Amino acid sequence: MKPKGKTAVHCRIVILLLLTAALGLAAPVTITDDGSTFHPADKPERRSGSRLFRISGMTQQYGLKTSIQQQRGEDGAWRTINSHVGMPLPTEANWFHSAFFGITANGRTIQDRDVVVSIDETGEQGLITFSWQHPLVDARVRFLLEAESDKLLMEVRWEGRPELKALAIEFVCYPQGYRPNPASVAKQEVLNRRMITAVRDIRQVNDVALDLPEEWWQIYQDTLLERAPFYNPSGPCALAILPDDVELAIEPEDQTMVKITDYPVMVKVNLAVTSGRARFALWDFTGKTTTDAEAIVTQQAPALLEHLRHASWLPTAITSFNAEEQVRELDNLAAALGDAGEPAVTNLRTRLTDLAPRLEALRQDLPSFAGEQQIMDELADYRLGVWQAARPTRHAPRVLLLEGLFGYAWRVAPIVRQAWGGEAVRKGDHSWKYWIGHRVSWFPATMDELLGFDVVVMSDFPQDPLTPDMRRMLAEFVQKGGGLLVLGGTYAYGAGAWAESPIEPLLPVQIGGLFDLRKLTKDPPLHLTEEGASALGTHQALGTVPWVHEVTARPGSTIWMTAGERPVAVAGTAGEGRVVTILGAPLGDQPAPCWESEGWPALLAGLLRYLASGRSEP
Amino acid sequence: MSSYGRLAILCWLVAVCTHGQVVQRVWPERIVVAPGHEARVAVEVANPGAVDVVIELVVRLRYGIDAEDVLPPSPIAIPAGRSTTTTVAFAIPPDRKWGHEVIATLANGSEAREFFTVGTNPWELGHYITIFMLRGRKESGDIDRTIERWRDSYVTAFEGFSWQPSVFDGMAPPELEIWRSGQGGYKESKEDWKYLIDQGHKQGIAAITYIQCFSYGPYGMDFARRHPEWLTFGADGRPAGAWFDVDKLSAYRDAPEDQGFDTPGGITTGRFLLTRPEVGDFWIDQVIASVDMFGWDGFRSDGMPGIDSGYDIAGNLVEAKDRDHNAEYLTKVRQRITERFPNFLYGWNNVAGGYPRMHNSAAEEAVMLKDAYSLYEHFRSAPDPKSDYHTWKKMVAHLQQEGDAVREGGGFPHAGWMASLHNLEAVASASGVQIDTWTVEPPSFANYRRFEFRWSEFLWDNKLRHLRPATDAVTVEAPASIWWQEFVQARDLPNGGRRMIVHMVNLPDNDNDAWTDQPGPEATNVTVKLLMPPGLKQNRLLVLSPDMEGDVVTVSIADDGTVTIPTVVRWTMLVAEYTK
Repeated sequence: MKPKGKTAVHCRIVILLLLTAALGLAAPVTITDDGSTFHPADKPERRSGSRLFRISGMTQQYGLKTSIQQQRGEDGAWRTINSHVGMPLPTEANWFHSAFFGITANGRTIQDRDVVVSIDETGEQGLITFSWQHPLVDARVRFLLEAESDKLLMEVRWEGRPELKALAIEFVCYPQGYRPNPASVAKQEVLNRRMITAVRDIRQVNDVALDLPEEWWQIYQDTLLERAPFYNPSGPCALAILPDDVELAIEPEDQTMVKITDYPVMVKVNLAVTSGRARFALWDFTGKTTTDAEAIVTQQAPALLEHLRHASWLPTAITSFNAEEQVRELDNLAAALGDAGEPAVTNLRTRLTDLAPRLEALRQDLPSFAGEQQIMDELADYRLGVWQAARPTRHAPRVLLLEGLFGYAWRVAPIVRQAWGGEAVRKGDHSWKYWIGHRVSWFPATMDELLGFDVVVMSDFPQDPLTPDMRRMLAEFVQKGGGLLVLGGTYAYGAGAWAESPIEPLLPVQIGGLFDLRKLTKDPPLHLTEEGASALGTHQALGTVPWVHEVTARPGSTIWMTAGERPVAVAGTAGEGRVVTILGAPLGDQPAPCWESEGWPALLAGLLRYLASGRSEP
Repeated sequence: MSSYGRLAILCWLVAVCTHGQVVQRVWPERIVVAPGHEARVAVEVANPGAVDVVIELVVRLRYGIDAEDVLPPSPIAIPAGRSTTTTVAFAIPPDRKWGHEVIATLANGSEAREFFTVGTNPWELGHYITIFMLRGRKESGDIDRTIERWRDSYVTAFEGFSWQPSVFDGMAPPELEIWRSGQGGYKESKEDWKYLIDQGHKQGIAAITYIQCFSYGPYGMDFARRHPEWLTFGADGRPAGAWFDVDKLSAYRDAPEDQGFDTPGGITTGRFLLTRPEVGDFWIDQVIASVDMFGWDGFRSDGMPGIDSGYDIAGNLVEAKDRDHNAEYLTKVRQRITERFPNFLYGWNNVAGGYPRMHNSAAEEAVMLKDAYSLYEHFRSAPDPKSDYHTWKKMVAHLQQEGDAVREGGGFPHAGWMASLHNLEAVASASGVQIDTWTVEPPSFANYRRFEFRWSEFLWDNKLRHLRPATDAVTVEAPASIWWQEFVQARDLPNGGRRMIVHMVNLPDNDNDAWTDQPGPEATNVTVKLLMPPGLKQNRLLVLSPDMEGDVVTVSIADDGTVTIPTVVRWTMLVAEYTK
């Protein structure tokens, strides 16, 4: 009997889980950048903002957030006066949502300046890095996000100047919440913070020295909030400190101290300045009891200690780089490209020969920040070269579809799935809520991830959901040879606010005003021009577009399709990439519109094939 | 058989034959009867005895303060061991209104009672409840059970809440039999809604559709896409009043039945520019088509379609400089719909009293309020300690400010939607405002709802006005926990008479204890001294309380007219009428 409704869904989930377990597959780790939001300034000279990174693919839904305060300088420019990292997910409680750690050098914060954030990897594992450059020290906090893991692994690395004498990190948490619920208040019950370690269980005491290495892990909880009602789920949190790199001097001021107050719990760890690194693990056990947490931490502790010692916080692009496999890949590429590809492949072989030993050396040592960055840049460049060289060998375009409100009418996803299968398209969808802002449901976190696609389609998609980093990455993708197809709608072109973005100069059309939609008084059928037919072949029965965006074709662009005299498709190039803009908007109720026409699927497939193959002459 | 056996059988026979016949149920066919129509009441009498009997039945109808109609006694023949249902009918005069109690009494004293009401607008007369997610509930029998529960809770109108595939534009979807609602993603079907409305109508319960100016979900977004020139745009060149999650919209579009209960997006299609009157006409046509399709009796507007300022798709700014344009459109709405359906009922979310702010102009209020439901939904925050309505004193002040303004305009003030309780019912009804709640109350609470239904004339009559200061008209000697000065009301009666009402509500000292539904300490020997209006004489006085069995409180009246009420538990109401 065929299961129905919820049963069917549950069956599918169970089957999927079993398959996943059987194949040893883990869901990929993704990091979604919600973009920066600056709150309205409470004073003209000061403002605050935040940027949330949502992490999925772990067993707990963590989120990391930068919190920035800025002050306006005399020149009118905003200058960051402090920058922190908070953990608002899985709960606003536990690790402080706005600043769960602070770093001091010689007793003063190093976070009185801008923080630089980079998402370094997503997929099998995630890496996200927060860096501060201070006169005393360059510090980098990198989180290693392991698939199916329940905890964040954190590495602090630093490169100190000679003046650096002391370095410390202080963690802040509000275990299980900030305040008692009304029923507890009525009974005059107060918060009761508690710390559990391998050797003791203590309540609300200021300045307790941790006995490291014995007490290298601690669980923090609140005995009152443990009884939180079901609608306010809570749970304890825990911290593990790899003692190897911590100052263990017996001087009281150098010990790792915990303050267990009736509000925050703070753990100050004095780092061994010369070691250059320190490692931690942080759990948020929301949804679990303290008993659960204790069982989990004690069960994980032995292996975790070794894992913290030996795990690599480098991208797998470095740690898993296999030169022999790369050689084989280049051999295959050479065979597929034939003589025409020989110069490109030879160039890649030379770069690989240079890169491989340096990558190996990097894996064996603690690399300098600059050294690691240089290798990463070279590696990215090498991979880009492979992607560019392999382009002519790909016959099924891989499409990243950025879809806006009315973009569905263009039917890009179903047409691509029909033509090349479900794996050929991945969507990033626009959401807009005035109380949240513009978001994109998914966008590649790294350039490497973006190179998994050949064409980006923006279907009625505005620029707002993309962060500046995403826009820059997208522009770079096109200039390096990626394809871009822009489809119209009420959030496209003028209303898409693309002006002044790095994407706009890449388009073969000049965007006009915000209100650029015009209704055609007649509905002339669409025709490919000679140039369009030359690039895409003959296509018929393309229907009509009642609404078009009024834009200006840029010099050097080519008009490929018209409705009467009006251009509807304009093609151009940008760097090594190809760009096509469809100026029709999928609006109106007229019969036989282009997007529902018989000819549209084949035309769209032709456009995507064209765009995927890149510009032939750089 | 032994002699003991024979004796036992004889005793049993005697017992069976003389066992009393009982009135098992009195059931008005319709909970609301229109003036000038017949009220038909089924009386079910059981005869548990072993012999056929004929017994006399008397049916009485009580209404107003103390009016009573009695039907002539009629003999009822009931076969042995059976029950019989007989239907009696009362001709309701055209000028009759408000709550009625029907009592059926057998000659042996067995008695049962039930209630119905008389009038034309169910929002004025009884309780209002909301419902959604109907698919499959006809077949499961749940709709029938739901209507039974509504009858037991004296519900006179129900609201189909956000049942449409898209609220502005999906009120009469000819192409759909089942769907997910655009707002909330509720599972709905045409067949279930029609069944609920038909069954409700059979029992006199009105069916009200929820309306808004928003298009929702994939259905609504497609409507907006197909009518771009009908949309209003913001200065940013984008559709105004849109919010959406394309990811969820795609999921609802591709696999609607697999989705959770959510609103994947909405767009304000129903706030249109002066240059686009056809949008407003389209919506009126939608309402009419929906009434034709489903049989609605009225609408409750939570965000009314109407005229707004903004840009058209070409970027031309079209300003509606004043709200009179919208008043004209509202007038058109009422005229065109009433033309087609003369008894159509109109209801709106509103802030007629000005707190927290006025949404409409005086011209709009003048069109909206008359004979219409007016919902003060801001009030729903009242239980939250942070709310501006929190503390019962503040709540009463705001409720009365709003309710008085609605009454002045000729409307029926309601507040909600929120979980209700005894104290809230007492305070709101004593303020002239009805509380809309989404639950069918537990039995203990239902008595308050029944009490309000029966005595609605003294609670919700929109011709009643608060007397301030109340001490000019009445003096009450009672413990401090008894509120009364806020709850003294009066109205003129035909023929120069006057009705005065004094509510006494007993709330605990601790404000928050009222939310846990505690009454104040029971008050005894509360005295009420009414000051006689000049030129009038008192001819009727009644003291009522839902806390007392049978509602009527026995009081003593001194020579000087001072009324002594032996006990005030939570809510007691004194009604006095004067004539020339």
